[in-house]
Amino acid sequence: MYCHNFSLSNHQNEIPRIDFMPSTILLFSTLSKESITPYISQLRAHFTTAQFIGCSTSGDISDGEVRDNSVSVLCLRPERGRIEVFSDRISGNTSYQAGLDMAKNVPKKNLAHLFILSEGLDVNGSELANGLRDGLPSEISVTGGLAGDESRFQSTWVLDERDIPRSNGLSVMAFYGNWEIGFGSTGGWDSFGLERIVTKSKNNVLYEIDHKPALDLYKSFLGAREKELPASRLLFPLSMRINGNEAPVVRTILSINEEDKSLIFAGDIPENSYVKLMKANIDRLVNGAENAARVALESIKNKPELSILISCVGRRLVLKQLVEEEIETVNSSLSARTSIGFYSYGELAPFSKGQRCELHNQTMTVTTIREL
Amino acid sequence: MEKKVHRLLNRQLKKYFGSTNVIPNGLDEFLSAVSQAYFEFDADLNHSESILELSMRELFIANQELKNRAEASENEAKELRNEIENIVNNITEVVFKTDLEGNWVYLNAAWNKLTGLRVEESLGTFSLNLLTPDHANEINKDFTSLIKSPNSEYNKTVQYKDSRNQEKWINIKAKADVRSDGWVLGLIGTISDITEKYEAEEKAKWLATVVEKTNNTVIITDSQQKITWVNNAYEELTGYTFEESLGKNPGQLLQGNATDKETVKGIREKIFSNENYRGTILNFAKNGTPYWVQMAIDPLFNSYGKLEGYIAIESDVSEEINAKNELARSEALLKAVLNSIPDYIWAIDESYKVTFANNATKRDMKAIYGVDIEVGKDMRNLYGNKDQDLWEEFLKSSLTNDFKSDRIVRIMGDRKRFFDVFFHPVVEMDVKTGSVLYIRDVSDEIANQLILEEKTDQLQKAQVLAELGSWVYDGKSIVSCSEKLMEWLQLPSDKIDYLQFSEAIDPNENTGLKAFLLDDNQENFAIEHEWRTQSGTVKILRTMARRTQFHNSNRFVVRGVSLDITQQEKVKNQLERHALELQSTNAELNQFAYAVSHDLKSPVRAVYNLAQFILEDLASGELNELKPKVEMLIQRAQFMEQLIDGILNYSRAGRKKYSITSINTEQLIRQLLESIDLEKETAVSILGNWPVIEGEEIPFIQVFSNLLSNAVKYGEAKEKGIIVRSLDDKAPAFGHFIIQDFGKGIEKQYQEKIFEIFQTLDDSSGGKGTGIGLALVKKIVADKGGEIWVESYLDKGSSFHFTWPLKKLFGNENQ
Repeated sequence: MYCHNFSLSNHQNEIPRIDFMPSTILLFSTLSKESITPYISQLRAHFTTAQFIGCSTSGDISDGEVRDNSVSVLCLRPERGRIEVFSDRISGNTSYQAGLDMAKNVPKKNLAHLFILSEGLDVNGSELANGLRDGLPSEISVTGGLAGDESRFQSTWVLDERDIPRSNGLSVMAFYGNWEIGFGSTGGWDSFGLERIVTKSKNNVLYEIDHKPALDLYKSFLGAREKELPASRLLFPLSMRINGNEAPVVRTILSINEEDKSLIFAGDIPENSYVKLMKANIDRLVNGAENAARVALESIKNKPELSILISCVGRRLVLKQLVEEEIETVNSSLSARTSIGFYSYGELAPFSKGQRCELHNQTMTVTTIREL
Repeated sequence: MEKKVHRLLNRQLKKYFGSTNVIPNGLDEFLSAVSQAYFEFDADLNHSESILELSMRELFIANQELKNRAEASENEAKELRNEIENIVNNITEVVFKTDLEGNWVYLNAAWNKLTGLRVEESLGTFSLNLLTPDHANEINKDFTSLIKSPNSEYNKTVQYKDSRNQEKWINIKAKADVRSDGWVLGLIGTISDITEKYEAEEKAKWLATVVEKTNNTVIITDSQQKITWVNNAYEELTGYTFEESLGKNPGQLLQGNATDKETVKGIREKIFSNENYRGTILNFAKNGTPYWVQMAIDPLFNSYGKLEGYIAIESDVSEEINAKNELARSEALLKAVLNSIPDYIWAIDESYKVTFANNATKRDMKAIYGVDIEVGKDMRNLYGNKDQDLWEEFLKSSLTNDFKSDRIVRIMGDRKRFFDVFFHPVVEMDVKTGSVLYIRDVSDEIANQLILEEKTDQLQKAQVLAELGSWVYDGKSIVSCSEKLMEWLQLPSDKIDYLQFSEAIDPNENTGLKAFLLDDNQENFAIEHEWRTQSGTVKILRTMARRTQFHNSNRFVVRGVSLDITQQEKVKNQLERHALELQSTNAELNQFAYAVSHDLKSPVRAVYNLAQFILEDLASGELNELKPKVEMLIQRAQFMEQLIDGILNYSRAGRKKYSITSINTEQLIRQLLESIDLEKETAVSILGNWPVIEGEEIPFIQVFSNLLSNAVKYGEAKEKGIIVRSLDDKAPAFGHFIIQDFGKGIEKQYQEKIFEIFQTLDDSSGGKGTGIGLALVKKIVADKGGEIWVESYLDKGSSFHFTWPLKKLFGNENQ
């Protein structure tokens, strides 16, 4: 597989020369829909035959650096196999159906892996993961993430089949042929305090914890940082355990509703599940990211050609200026030739090889790719 | 730059300078200070974090300690509670506590004993819904109001059925469970099973009520026989109030002059010896009304055996005693009645002993049964009775069966005597305790009946001989009907419904016998009607009836006789028919005489004239004129002969009767066409369905051949042909035959006339016809019951139609 990545911080910049004709262009950017358009036009003019896939981010990762206000571009060309891009629309109510439809519509012959990008605000990531899982044979792995918009939570986009950034977009990159795919998804957050029970919720909206309004309780946790809401919610995600047997998943609060005192998450919070507040510090998060790389490496035999890193915006808010530390740690562990990625509003990956794809929050999710 | 640069600073330097190597000199000290500050800040952060961690751990430990202490004191409380629980559970009363909704929050073990319900399953349910629904609602309401007024207390006794369906009385005491701050938590209270106590109290109350309310008079005196208490019944019966009677001697107060002195003495003796007295006595009320009481006097002793006084319980038996007297009177009356009856009435009890025998029985039964019937005698042992077994059987069945009658015959002296024996069981309280036997001498009735039967028999026989039937109607049904009539009318012999009867006599609803039977105002009735006997012959019956009203009563009988008048009617009918025939024959004869005299006159006149002419010719010697005149004379004579033959034929028609045969008309008509020798070239078409006729063949041939020859003669048949046709469109019992020609036809005015005798249409027919043919045909057809007519149109042809009965109409007996 040929891959090459570069960044554009100005659309007047010249696109660097690359020594192959890419079939697929993967791009990430913190820019808004309006601002990204000239870059797209420029790229399209240059790569006339390639298929484009991309989404908005809370920071793109390119060459071990985290960038804002630029466009990170990855050019791909398989040597033996094939990569196809498919696009669709998605909304909060239709997340499951959109996932299912997408999974059904993608041709399955020789399909090895799906890399998915979804808009990040309205989508119910758990339902999307469920839909994808129900529509796909179990041997086909899925990884990906939800688009971000820095940490504004206002508007995200995903490129559609005509290269138009869509705030209700959903796209996949399907890998056909023989590919060695590795993935790992870990957080490094610690849960603390008492475990509490969810007493009222509907899908991804949490109304009551321990029979008390969820927002009130959450605010009492934040203490003085209550005033920093809604941004400060990213620093204190919840750990959720549906029942004792399952590994807990981390849930970030997407938005809050002052009227009915509810918390809205990127994925489902079923009634009777247990939640715990979480905290983190820099060292733990960096260790967590390294763990993700380790898990990914355990599932593959060969050195990966390409690694795609999707990390949570919440981590970036904690790590702040040290954010590149987790990128460097992961990259040096994986030692892939090319590395690209973005900070997201949600990560999609199985916990480990052979498990079903799930929505994660506050994780570093690593996908490694090598054409065989 | 030394190694000891803080990583954040290191990163920042990298970001801004690309590499730490390109950092401008002179900043080292500053950067070192910044790095130092970062490290110190980090250390502070770690320090405060670890303090936080420590204090958190401390907090957890303290928390744990608190938890343990809480647990310990909770256990202590639990123990205490268990102890109290133990005590409470050993209390026989139910101790309960409810919440504000009335649901149990606490119950002790006595609950299970009282209700049979387990405490665990009762907790949390509505308190008393095990009670009967009315009580449950009532108590629910009480409890609700109790919660609202925390200061009041509740005490109520109710009955209910426990889970084992036993009726119990419980006393519920409850008050609001008020917390020290005045907040009402629910109710607390007790429930106790007071079934035994309650029932004992109720029983005592009940007894007191019985004594108070009983119809029996109760008097209690002290040992000195002074009244200390009386009940309501006493006051009502005697008219004395309790106050009036208090302290008085009951004997002195209530007995009067008519009271039996011996009885009073007997009572006094018993009282003095402290014994019980039982007896009946006549007492007097305050207003002087006498009444009988059945009295029981008992001395009353206290528990130490000391005489405390007397109790007298009296029941008013005046009515019983009066009823007894009434009964005795009725019995005497009944006996007198029974004794005055000449029939034999006696009764036995279940052991066959005579309990009653009226005078007639005592007087005469020895003559009948050979024994005296006396009260007390066992009727089974009638010495000298030959049919001992039958007798015993008879008596036995009189006791066991409901009702029976029998007739016994005894030869007494030189006379055979008949007795009807009836018995009827005596039933007392659904048990047969004996039997009443009623024996009646019916010898005279039977003798009368025999005479009546004999007379009836004679009457029947006489009626049979006279072909006469008689019947009697009593206003409801036909009570008697002679055999002859029943046989005629084919009615069932046993029971005759008057409707059936009257319908058989005369089916006419309004004017018939039924109407007569129902109409009280009509006295006489007569009708003649036909009926068909079983053999099929039709007969005529004349029925006459007369209503006889009973004197001074609206009862009546209708007596009727029926006569078979078939023969009479037949003779009458024959006479009438003969008279009619005679009449028509006379009319015909008149017409005939006129026609003959008129029509024979013309050839006779011609002969006469010709003879005159011949005489004149002879006188004048014109002999050559003679021959044609003589020839004409002969011709006229021949014509006259023809006429006379025709008249003979006509007069014979209808007189002669021929035997009846089966005529195949089609076959016949074909033979006829051959025999009358129609020229071969004459076209004859035979059309339609030709019937087979039962009748006389010769007249039918006469009619047909006449009409055919007419058609040939006048209808230009040879030139134009004819059609013969048979139809069945007329009356069902008739054949319809048509002979059609295509000749010149007959003018309308002559279409009737042609059927009259001596009428020929063409005067100058020149001997073509005598005018007899069609008249003859008409006569024959009419004689057989048919009709004949012609339909004709000038220059088109004529159709002669006639009908002929398929079966001969008049019976052969007319011959």
